[in-house]
Amino acid sequence: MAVIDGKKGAAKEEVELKEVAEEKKEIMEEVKKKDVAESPRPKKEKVKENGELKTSAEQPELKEKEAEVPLHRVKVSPLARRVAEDLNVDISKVEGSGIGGTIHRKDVEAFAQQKVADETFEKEVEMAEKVSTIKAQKSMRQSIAAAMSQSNREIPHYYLETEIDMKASLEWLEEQNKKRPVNERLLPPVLLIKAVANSLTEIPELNGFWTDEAMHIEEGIHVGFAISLRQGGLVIPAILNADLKSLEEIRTEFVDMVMRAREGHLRSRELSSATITITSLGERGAEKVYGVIYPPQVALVGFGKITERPCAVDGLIGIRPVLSTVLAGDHRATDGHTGSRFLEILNENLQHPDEL
Amino acid sequence: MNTTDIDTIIKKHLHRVAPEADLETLEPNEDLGRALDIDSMDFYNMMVAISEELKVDIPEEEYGKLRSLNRINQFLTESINK
Repeated sequence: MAVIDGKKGAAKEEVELKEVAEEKKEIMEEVKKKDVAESPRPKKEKVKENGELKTSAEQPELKEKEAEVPLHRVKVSPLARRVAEDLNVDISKVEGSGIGGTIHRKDVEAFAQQKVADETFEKEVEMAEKVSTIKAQKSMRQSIAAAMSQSNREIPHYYLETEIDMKASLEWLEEQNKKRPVNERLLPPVLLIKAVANSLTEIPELNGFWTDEAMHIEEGIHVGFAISLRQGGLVIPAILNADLKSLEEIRTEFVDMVMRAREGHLRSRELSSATITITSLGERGAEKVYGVIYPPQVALVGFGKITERPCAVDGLIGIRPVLSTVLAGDHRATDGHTGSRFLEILNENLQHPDEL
Repeated sequence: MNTTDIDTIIKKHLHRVAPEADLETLEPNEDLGRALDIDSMDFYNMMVAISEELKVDIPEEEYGKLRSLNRINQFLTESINK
């Protein structure tokens, strides 16, 4: 349990640091907006010159136009010009406080000061973001290390492997997706999550936790799905009660979960309630995965890459899309016989995707 | 909309799923998955975003072929000008 707590802590810390960074960003944007809103004096005069009335909403656009005004049209005191050169200030960006918008020395100095303050602030925001990422990565690595070491130390794994013919499933998905817009497509992982959940209703021995030297079967089937992160590491959010949800419900949750996982916005409940884990390699890379069980869970289903392979079908050789499936089981909680039945049922379920 | 505009849009969405990747050094015919370590979910999310922005339907059976900048660009150009 200590592992899960550690993970929660890391996630929380990450969230807090992110919030700090985001807050700073917001303040900065506010400040910028305020700048635009509070410096309309020269602009108003411009508006009058053009004889046009502009709403305040158009002001940012106005500001851009103003920046394009050639230098010779802006009145600048000679001293201001010299100071601007010394301070490396682009004088066309400075707003004058004098009559008719004339730029004086104090305007240039104020602008330079503001610029330095803005830059420092921006740097601080950047630093806060960097530190939060590094910290989160480090603590994530540590919680993975702790969980996996504990697993290897304490769980006597057994592995069972089977090859599932995915022709029926993939054809069914294709058929379904023809009727769906791009953003509502059913993806193979959705089918796999649902098939695993349904299989567990028949083999509940694999769904739950090994704690206090005994197996505790969980009633709710919460399927964790390992999602690797670009910056390294992985998270395993769970689809709660996946056996009771429709494919459509799982699809919506799954897509949302992956997005939030990548952005680091998962809820701690999602990260700590899985009763079994799926790891799926997707379409690239290795064909099989022999997973390490996430304690105190007692099983992990590893799906490889779907590959076309020659298979014996009805006494003939056919080319079939095959999915290598490896079940890792905790031998303290179950035996190979239970695991084998689970794989059989899982295979059967994926042959009838319309019934999922 | 010409191919350069479309390239810009593709790269914008690539940047969203792979923010740290250097898109300048990306070869137009390189496999995006391998070059940028994009998985199928990233790829799917990118396709959804592109199809929404350009109002182009990208059939699922095309996904397998749309593996490089050039291929995606070609497909989108043809779809838009249809």
